[in-house]
Amino acid sequence: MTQIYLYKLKPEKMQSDKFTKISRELGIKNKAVETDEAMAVHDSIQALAYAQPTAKFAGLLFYTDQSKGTADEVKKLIDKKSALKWAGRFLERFDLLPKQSKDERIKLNIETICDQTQAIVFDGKERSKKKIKTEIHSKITLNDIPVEGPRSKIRMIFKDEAKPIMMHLGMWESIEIFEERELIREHDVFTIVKEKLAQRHKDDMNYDIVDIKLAYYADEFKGGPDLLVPYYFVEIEHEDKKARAVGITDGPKKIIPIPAYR
Amino acid sequence: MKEVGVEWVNDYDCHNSLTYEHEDAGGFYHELVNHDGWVGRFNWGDKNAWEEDFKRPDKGGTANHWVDTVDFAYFTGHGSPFVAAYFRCDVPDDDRLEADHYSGPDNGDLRLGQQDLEWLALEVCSTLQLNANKDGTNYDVFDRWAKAFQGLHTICSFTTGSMDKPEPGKYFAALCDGRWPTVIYGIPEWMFGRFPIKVIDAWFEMTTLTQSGSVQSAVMFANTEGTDTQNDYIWGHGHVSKDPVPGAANWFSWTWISHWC
Repeated sequence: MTQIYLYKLKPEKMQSDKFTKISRELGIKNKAVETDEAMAVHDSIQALAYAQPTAKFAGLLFYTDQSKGTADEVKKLIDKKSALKWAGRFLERFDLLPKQSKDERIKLNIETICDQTQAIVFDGKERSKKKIKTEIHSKITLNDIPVEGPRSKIRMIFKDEAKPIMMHLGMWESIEIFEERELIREHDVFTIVKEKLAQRHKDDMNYDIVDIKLAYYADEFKGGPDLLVPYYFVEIEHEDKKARAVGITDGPKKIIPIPAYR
Repeated sequence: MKEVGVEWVNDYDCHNSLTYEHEDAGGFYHELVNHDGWVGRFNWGDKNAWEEDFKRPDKGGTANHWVDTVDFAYFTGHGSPFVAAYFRCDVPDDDRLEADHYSGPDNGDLRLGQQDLEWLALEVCSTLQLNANKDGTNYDVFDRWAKAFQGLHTICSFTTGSMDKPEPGKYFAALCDGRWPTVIYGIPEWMFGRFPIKVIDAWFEMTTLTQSGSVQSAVMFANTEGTDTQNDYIWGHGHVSKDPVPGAANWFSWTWISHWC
């Protein structure tokens, strides 16, 4: 029987002066508004918001600069090295990454990766590729299990300047073990999915389980302890007989999250 | 007048059922109608959501009476690379909106924007998948959907499977109409006001807010001389490009961009 930890997240209670420093760094000079749940500030083209602990997106820092859109073409995109440098300095300067736990049972790893995404343009004759955005995204693991969800990801989109136009930093300040539970085996997930689907569709509907991924999911906070718990994300593809008759094998898909512990 | 219409299917009779689509599409509709002054033209679900509402008239559809009479249409249910939307099998006209090349190179069901439609959000799996195979031949996203753009600005959707959730429509609409600080962060509108976000940026951020990092969303937009649909805000909140009408100038282009959620 394999055991797995459930964790309790502790998002940062953002102080006004820190939020103001972040907004100044991003070039917003206006005064922030503050409630128990959030802080936010904007000027004519930029906005920054942070969700405090107990808010549904607790720990999420969101920034947008609408002077350029994600899909806008720019003469020269910022290179990956410069984007990573900006991101690293920003996260470090404002202490926005989780603190390393002293609990040796918690092995947290956060990696930031940078890519340049290409748009594909079709002019009616030819397809061409254009670099459209330089993006930072995160790869987070807890004891080697991926951590996903809106409150556990780093996303930054850069265009031609060494400052992002969009930023989604869903992060917590610290984490602790809440309890240890039995991990449901991947094999047993097949049975659970079969049982679920048996209740929902006719017997002649065939399906394939195309993917199963185990991951912690930091979803919206819905009250109670702010738990980070594991799920199996099961991707199911149903057979589309009509499409198959014309030579198309793709059918409608669905991703079902199944709790991975009991 | 800015008009919105939504359709959704949970209770499929011939495909696997979904759970939250009424809330997903309803959230989009409710936000724009009740908080942004849009006229709600239709909110059809399950047996009342019909494929023919999206289908071009010369194939027997009634898009000219429904989806192409609104500015923003939102569908949520199932989709796949060759099918923009699946409906129930007991509704007119059939259960699927076919892409071009599904049953013939020019036989796609979607020809949109000839009347009014600017933006079509398909909160479904895989419709904007870059490449898709039929009988060993690859048909890319342009082969399948380019002809749908007859004045239509943008299609927002996914390239991969996605999770069935209640929130996407509400968050997407609130990012578009600028009420996201209230809807997502709980800040009263009188304290902060609104901060609208471009349609494409709003779609990408909504998918970041609601899906895991292994899901990929995408947009496809069209342009011609004098248009810049990539910069669209929704009506009443900033710039909206002129309609990109095929044949109106000596060039026309389609752009596809993906985003890991």
